[in-house]
Amino acid sequence: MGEKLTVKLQKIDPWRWLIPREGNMKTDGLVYADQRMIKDIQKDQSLLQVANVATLPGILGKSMAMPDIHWGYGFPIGGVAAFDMATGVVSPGGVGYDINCGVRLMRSGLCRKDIQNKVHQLVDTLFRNIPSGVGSHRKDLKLSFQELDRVLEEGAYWAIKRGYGSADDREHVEAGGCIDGANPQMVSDRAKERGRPQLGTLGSGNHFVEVGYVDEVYDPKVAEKLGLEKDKVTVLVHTGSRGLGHQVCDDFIRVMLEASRRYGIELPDKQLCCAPLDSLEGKNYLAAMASAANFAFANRQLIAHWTRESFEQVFKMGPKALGLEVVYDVCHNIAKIETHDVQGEKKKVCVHRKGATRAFPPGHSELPLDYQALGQPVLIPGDMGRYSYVLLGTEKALQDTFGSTCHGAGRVMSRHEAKRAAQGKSISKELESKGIIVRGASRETLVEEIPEAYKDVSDVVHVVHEAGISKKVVKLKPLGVIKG
Amino acid sequence: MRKKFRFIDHTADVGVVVYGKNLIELFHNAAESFFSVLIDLKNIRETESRRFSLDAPGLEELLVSWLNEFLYLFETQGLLFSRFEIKNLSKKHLEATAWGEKYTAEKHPIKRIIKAVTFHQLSIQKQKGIWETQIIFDL
Repeated sequence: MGEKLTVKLQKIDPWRWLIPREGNMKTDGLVYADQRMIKDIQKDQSLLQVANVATLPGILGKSMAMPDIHWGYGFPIGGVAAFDMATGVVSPGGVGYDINCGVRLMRSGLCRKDIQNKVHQLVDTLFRNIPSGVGSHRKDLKLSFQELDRVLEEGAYWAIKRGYGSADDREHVEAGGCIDGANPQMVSDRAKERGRPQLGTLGSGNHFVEVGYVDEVYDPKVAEKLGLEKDKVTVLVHTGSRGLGHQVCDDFIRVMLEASRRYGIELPDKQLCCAPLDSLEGKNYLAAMASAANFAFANRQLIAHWTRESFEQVFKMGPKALGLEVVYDVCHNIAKIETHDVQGEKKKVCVHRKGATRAFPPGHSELPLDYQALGQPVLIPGDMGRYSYVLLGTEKALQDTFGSTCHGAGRVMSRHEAKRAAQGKSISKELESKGIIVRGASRETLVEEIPEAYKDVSDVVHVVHEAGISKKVVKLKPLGVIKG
Repeated sequence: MRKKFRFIDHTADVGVVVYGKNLIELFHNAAESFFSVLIDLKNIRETESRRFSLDAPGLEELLVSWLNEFLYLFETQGLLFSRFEIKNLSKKHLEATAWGEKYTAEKHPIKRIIKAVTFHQLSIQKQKGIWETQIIFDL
C-alpha cells in the first residue's frame, strides 16, 4: 500500500515502545507491544498512523496504540488519543465507521455440563431468533422514523422501556447505555433510512453471538463477585450501529474534509479529517456520534433479550432460574468526553478510542456501585475458535492511557489469505470437532473469519496485563457461535 | 481486453485498483468492481433501472458518492446493479443510469457485504495515458 515510510522506535521496557516526536508531531507516540509483536506491527503502516495522529492540534499526553494495533483508516485500529476541549479536535476517523461497535457479556446460572447436549439446538434457536445476514430483520420489530429518533436519544433505555430486558441491565452498560448529547437532527435521513430496518440485527463480518463457558480463572475473588466461576455458561454479543453508524461516519468525513480546510488544519492523511471540538462541525459530529452510539446500545440490548428468550425456549426455564444477567457492556469505537488528570489538573478531555476499550479503575465515579471496589470489567473477544477474556481496569490505565486498554485480537491474514488457507476445508466441521458449533449466514463469512486469520488474543491480553493497564480475571471458551 | 480492475490484498478489508481509458470508463469500472465484491455479476438480471444525478466538491468525492449510492440503494431497497451507463461526467457532476434487479436470497448468494466506501489513500491519477484509482471498501 503506497510507499513504505519508516518510523523511529525506541524500546522503553518489554511492553512499551516510544515513537519520538519529530517533524510536525506535537507529542510522542506510545505503543504497547512485546518484542515479537512489534516486528509484525512494523510490517504495515500503523506506526506511521500513530505518528500522524500526534500531529493533530490540541492532542494531550501521547498518541497511543494498544497491542492489537493494526492499520486503519487515518487513525490506527487500537489507537487512543485525547484532545483538549478548547484547543483540540474531534475526528470521525478516530472513532471509525462502526460507531460504538462493542461487546456485551452475560453470565448465567448454568454450568457447562447443563448445556453440553443442547448446544446444537441452542445455536439453531439463536440463529432463528437473532436476525443476521442480508435484509433479515424481526417481523415483530417495525419502527417509524419518529420512533427511531427516540432510539437515538435513549439508547438501551428505549429497548428496556419497551420490555426488551430489565431496568437493572442499564446499570452494567458503559455510560448507562445512553451517551449524553445525542441529537437525532444531526443524523442524516440517509443514515436513518439505512438504520431503521437494521435495529435488532447482528450484521456481517466479525460480529457474533457466542455461547461459552469460564475456562480459566486468574482472580477467583473477582470472578466470584462477577458471577464468573469456573465452568459457568456465558454469552458474548459483539455488534454495533450497523448502516446507521457507517453513514454518520461517511457523512461527517465529508463535513470534516471541508472543515479541516476552513480551519487550516494540516492533514498528513485525508482520513484524519477533523474539526475543533469547540466548532459547530465538531459539536454536530459529537451529537450525531452519540445518536449512533445509542442505536448500538439499543441493538445489543435487543439481541441480549432475544438471547435470553432463546435460552428459555431451549432449556424450558424461566428468566430467574437461567440468571442471564449483564456483567458489562463496553464500547470499542467511540469518542467520549471524560474528566482526566492532565499534568496535575482535572480537565475535561475528548478521548478517542478506535478499537480500544475504556478500562476505569476501582473507585471511579462512572462505575456502578457494585463495581466500585473492583474496577470496570473489560471484555476482549477473540476469534471464534479460541477464547475471549474478561479483564478489569486499573489505576495505571487511568494515569497512563486515559483509562484505556486493548479491544480484541486483530487480524493477521487478509480475507483473501484466509480464503486460501481455508480452501477445501469445512470450517464448521473443523470447529465442531473442537467442540464448537458454528452457524453463519454466509459460508464466505465463516471462511474469512477462520481462527488462523486472527492474532492469538492471549498475546494481546498478556501485554496489557504485564504493562499494568488492565488485569486478567477469567478466560472464556466458546461452545456455540452465530455469525452474521 | 484490458483489465477493468483488480483486487488487492488488505488485512481487514478489501481493496481494488480500477482502470479506465477515460474518466467515464473509470467510473463505470469502479461500479462493476463494487458489485463484484458483493456478488457474481452474472447473477443479476436487468429488471429495474435507476437514474443518478450527483454533485460533489471534487472528482474523488464524486467517485465515493457514486459508489455510496449503490450501498444506500442496496441496504434500503435491496437493489443490485450489473450494467451502468454514464452520460455526463465533469469534475463535480455525474449523470448516469444503472440496470439491475432486487435482491432475493435464493437467486443472489452474497459473497460479502460492503459497509462503507472509504477515502483512504484515494486519488484518481492518469499514468501512461490510463486513468487509475485505488479504492478501499470497509467490510
